[in-house]
Order: sequence, then C-alpha cells, then structure tokens
Amino acid sequence: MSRSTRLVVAGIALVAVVVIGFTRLGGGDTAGTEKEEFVYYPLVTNGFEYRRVPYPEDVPTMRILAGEPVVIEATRSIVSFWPITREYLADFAKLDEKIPGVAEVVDENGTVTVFDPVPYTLWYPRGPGAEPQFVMGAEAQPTYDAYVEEGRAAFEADRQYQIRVAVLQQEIDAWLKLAADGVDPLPDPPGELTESPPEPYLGYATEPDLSSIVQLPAGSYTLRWRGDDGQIMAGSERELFVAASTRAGVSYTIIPYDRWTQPVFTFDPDEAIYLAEDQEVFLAPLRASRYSAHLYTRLLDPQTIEVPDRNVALWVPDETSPDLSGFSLQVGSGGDRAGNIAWQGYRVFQEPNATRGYTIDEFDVEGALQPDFHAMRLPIDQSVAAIALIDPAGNEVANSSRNIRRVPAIPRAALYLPAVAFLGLAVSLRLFPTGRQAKKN
Amino acid sequence: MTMRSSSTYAALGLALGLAGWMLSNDVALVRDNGLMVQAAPFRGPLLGALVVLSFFLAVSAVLSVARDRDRGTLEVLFYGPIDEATYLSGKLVGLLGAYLALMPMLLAGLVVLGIFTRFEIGLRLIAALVLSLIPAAGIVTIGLLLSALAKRVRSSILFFIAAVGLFVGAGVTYSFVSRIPIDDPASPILPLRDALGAVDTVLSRISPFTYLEQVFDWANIGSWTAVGRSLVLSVAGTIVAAVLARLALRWRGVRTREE
Repeated sequence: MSRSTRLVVAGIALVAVVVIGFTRLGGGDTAGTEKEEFVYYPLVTNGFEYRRVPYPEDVPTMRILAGEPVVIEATRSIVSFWPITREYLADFAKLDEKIPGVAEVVDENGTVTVFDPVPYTLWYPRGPGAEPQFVMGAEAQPTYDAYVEEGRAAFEADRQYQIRVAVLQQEIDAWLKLAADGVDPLPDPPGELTESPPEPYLGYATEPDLSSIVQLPAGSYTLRWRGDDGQIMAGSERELFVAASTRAGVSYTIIPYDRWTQPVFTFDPDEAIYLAEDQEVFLAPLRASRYSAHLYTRLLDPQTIEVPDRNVALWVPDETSPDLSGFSLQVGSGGDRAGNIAWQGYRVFQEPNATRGYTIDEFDVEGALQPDFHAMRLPIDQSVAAIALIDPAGNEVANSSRNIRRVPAIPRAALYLPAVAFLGLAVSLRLFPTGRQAKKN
Repeated sequence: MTMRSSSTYAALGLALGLAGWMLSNDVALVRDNGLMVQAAPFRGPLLGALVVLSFFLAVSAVLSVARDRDRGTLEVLFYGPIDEATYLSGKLVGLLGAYLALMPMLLAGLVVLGIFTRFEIGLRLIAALVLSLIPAAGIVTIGLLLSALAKRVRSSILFFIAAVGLFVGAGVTYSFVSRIPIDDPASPILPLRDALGAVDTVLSRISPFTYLEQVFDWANIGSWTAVGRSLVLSVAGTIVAAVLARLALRWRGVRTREE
C-alpha cells in the first residue's frame, strides 16, 4: 500500500470515527426500549400559557422563568426513546402513578427550601384560549367558587332569556295562526323582545389542586423530590435553571394604512423602521422583555433538537392588550422633539369610493361600537427621524426609541453603480496594463 | 492577488454587485409592502460581499503555492535563506494585505449604496468588517494548506472544489434530508439524517466561513464576548491549519515530481 493510499484510508477512518461519535452523542438510546422511571410532570409557563411538560430522568435540566409560579408534580411512568424527534417520551396512558411528597430546592449555597403543597387554580377571565392568571394559596378556592357562581348565574340568565324568547315565539306563532284562520277582530300582535341577550360568560377556572409550587429568583438550583417516607426519591435530582429577562423594552405593532390587517412588528430597540415615502402607519406600543432564545424555546419544549446559539436573544411581549391611556408617541427629527401623538382608538370604515375600499378614522364613542384598534398615527412627514414612547409623567420609556427612515424610490439599476465602477476599473487594467504589468505581459 | 491585478477589482466589483442586488431586494420590499423593519440592513450584503472576497482570496491562496511549485519558483526560493514557515507567512501576509487594502474600497462602495437607499450601515458592522481580517486569515491558511498538499495547480483546484463541495454539500444535504417526513423509527433515513447532522456539525465547526459569519452575527447584536470567542477559535484554527500547511509543504517538497 502506497503512502498516499495509507493517508487516504487513515483520513476516511478518522472521519468515520468522528461521525459515529457525534451520531452517538446526539442519538441517545435505541427506539422501543421502555423503562419505568421517575418523571417530573410540572405545570410550566412561558409567561403567556401554562402547559404540562414531562421531564423523564434523561432530561437533566428544568428551565423556568424567574418570579413565575411553577407547579411541580412527580409521577412514575413508562419512558421510551423516540428517535424521530430524539425525545424521551413518557407514556401516561400505560402508567401514571402520582408520587406523594414535596419538592425541595437546593440553592448554590446549599440552602434547602421545602415547598409544601398549596392550593392553586388557573383562572382564564377571557376564556380558556386567552391568557390565564395563576391564583395560589388562600385565593385559589374563592376564585374557583366565584367562577362557579358567576358561571351558574350566567347560565341561568341565559336560560331565562332563552325561555322568554321561546315564549315570545309561541305567542307570535299563535297570533300568526289566528291571522291565517281569518279571526276577526284580530288581536294586537305580540310586542318585540326589547331586551338584549345576556353577555356570554367567557371565564373558566380549573378545579383547585394541591401541589408544591416553586417560585424563585434567577439562578441555578438543584430540584429533588422528598417522598412521604422522608427519603429523597431515586432519580429525582434535576438541575433547575431559573432565568430572568436580560433586557426590557417596548415593541411596536406597525399597522400600515393600506394593509391594516397585516401588521408588522418591531421588538428589538436596535431595529429601525424603513418606510416608503408615501406610507402612513399606526404604531401600537407593547412592553416586551428579552430572553435567551436557547432558554425560551426550552421552557415548554425542553427536548427540542433546535439548538439556537446561546447568544441569540428573543423578544417576547409582556402583555397582549395594554391600556396606554395617557401615553404618547414623541416624534423627533435630528435630536429635536417635533411633537407628541396621543394613543387613541381608530375604526375602519368601509367606503366603496375610497382608494383602498376603506378609510381609517379616529374613533368617537358611539353606542356599543368599539374601535378596531388603538394606536398612534405617524404622519407622512419626511423630517420625522425617530420616535419614542412617553409615559403620562412625561418621561421617555426605556428602550422605546426607534429610528424612522423614509426610503426613496430609486431605480434598481442605481444600486449596481459601485459594482460597475470597479468592474470597469478591472476591464481598464486588463486592456491598458500599467508599468510593471505591461512589461510582464 | 495584488492591487495592480485586474482580477482583484473584478472580485471587488462582483462583491459590490452581490451587495447591490441584496439591497435592491430590500428596496423592492419597502416599495411593495410600504415598510420594512430591520436592525442592520447591511448585514447580509456586507457578509455576502466578504464571502465573495474571501472566496477569491482562498482561490488565490490555493493557486499560489502550487503555481510556484509548478514554475519552479519554490525550488529557487528554497535555495536561499527561506524555509517553509517564512514562505507561507509571506504568502499569508501578502494576501491579507490585499484584503486589508480592499476594505476601504468596499466600505466606500457600501457608503454610496447607503446614501442611495438611506439604509444605515452602523458602527457595529464596520467593526465586524475590520475584525473579519482574522477569519479571512483562516480562509487563506486553509487555501495554503490545500495548495501545499497538491503537486500541481490542477490538483490544488480539485482539492479546493472538493473542500467547498464538502462544506456546502454537507449542509445542503442535511437540510434537505431533515425536511423528509419520517413516520417509522426503523426508517433508514433516520441514521442517514443523524450521520449527516454529525458531519454538518463537525464541518461547520472547522469551517473558517462559519467564524466569519459568527463575527458578523454577534457584532450585529453587540455581543462582543461571543465575537471574542469566535475570533479566538478562528485564530486557533488558523494556527492548526498553518502548522499543517508547513508540514504538508515539507512532506510534498518543493519540486513538482520526485527526481
């Protein structure tokens, strides 16, 4: 075997070893192997929703948000590796045996905190699809009781209303029958039902439960489960990583006048808003926080194979529909304050003769009508170069400023001018070589 | 690659052409949608332009040693007080000098594009442009390594095409295979996907283009610690490639054929 061939063979062998090594690292167990083991089944949140997420023993780190309550529960279940998504899955249909006990958290100084079970409920004031409120402790049961009471009252009010509608319908049917039979004199027809139907009741609360609820400041901890026998459960130790947001700021929903149903968002204060010269927009501010993307994607999906770099950040809105009454948008040009724009409601009016089929006007309260959106209207003013959110006290909200730039309508070909200049120089040098190059040629 | 060479300006023209094309897409986006939100609209165009220039630099490096060997220049040089390290250092410094000289011209071209579009370049990207010299050194060194390994110019070009094909092909194939839906855990695509993923991971860690991109990404968001980490890794990779290039040159010798 020649020297070159030996080298090639050695190279291929090395690559194979590296590939197999990495495949093993990322691969995990083989499919179909089932194990009965200790599984944490906490109710975790990403700030918007709460979800049950299983943590089998092969998922060593639990990540949660600082200051947010997380319900810790432990079960025994059957766990198997699913190679397609590279996840360890717990089969609660086969085995779901709750393990009584309490969660214990050990901080970096070795201090142990025991989280005795407390009652909790998830309260959804705007319905199960909307953002929930976590209610714990002494407030949990009254919240649930109030929900049941209000729900029953709303159901009863709706039932009574339906009865009144049905009675009225019967009276109308009877009157129509009389009219059809030609009864003379015909009695007066039944009156209209003037009352509005009761407001639908959207609220929902989960039945109160009793569990260890962990709520911690940012830091690294160890989580473990102490059983009813006073012993730490085997396989219950996990790293608990509690993370806080790394920056707070203001994001904006940008609603273009000509496509008001297709808003664009700016979360990062480093972003600039580039607008066409004739584009009119509305800006709806929203407080937001920045988290590590690596952490945030793992809050509800700890075994995801997506591996964003630990330096990549993600901006997340803190709230969905804030009340910014009293706030205003400061517009400025070149460091000067040009004026303030108030936060107010706008309504879209369909008008066949309008350019886009509609107009967007300031909303004046009229009966039961509601504005389509609340925002600040940015004028078509070429001099506006920056915006910032001003609170009711007149102070600029931190990280709320954005640069505004109007992009001129330039011909596309103009953007190739620098390239053409250097290509021209290259051609010139080729056709008319200078000094040494000419001699060389 | 010298400042008197027409190909240097052709490469710069191509780099600025790519940047202009990328910016024209953003301008069209603003025109069609009425608005665009971006932190650094020049990030893509500048990185694209630097990839073109780095590619050109790598080709120059790949050709340099093999061409000197082909022409006999290498043999003549080594009769003098020049060893492998001095020779390779000279090549590296020369090519990086050309890269450095191109930077102000590239920046001037981008400033003109910035004036046309009113897009902001930003100091972070200018810092990234300056710092790109370090990953560019890695790219040149890999080119020198390939060139030192090859006996002739033709072989060095084949090595270069194979290396680029491997770096680009592995990523593209992994991305393609990852999109194939798999329902059965016994599917043969599964080990293939994992193996390709592993290859892609390994290659992306040794590719100097990865570090170039990382420097831009982290500088763009102001994560200077991450920039520093990428630069340190890039320097380490460059040193390893330089040592290997020196060994390869010593092993391959200064003549085209064994006489």
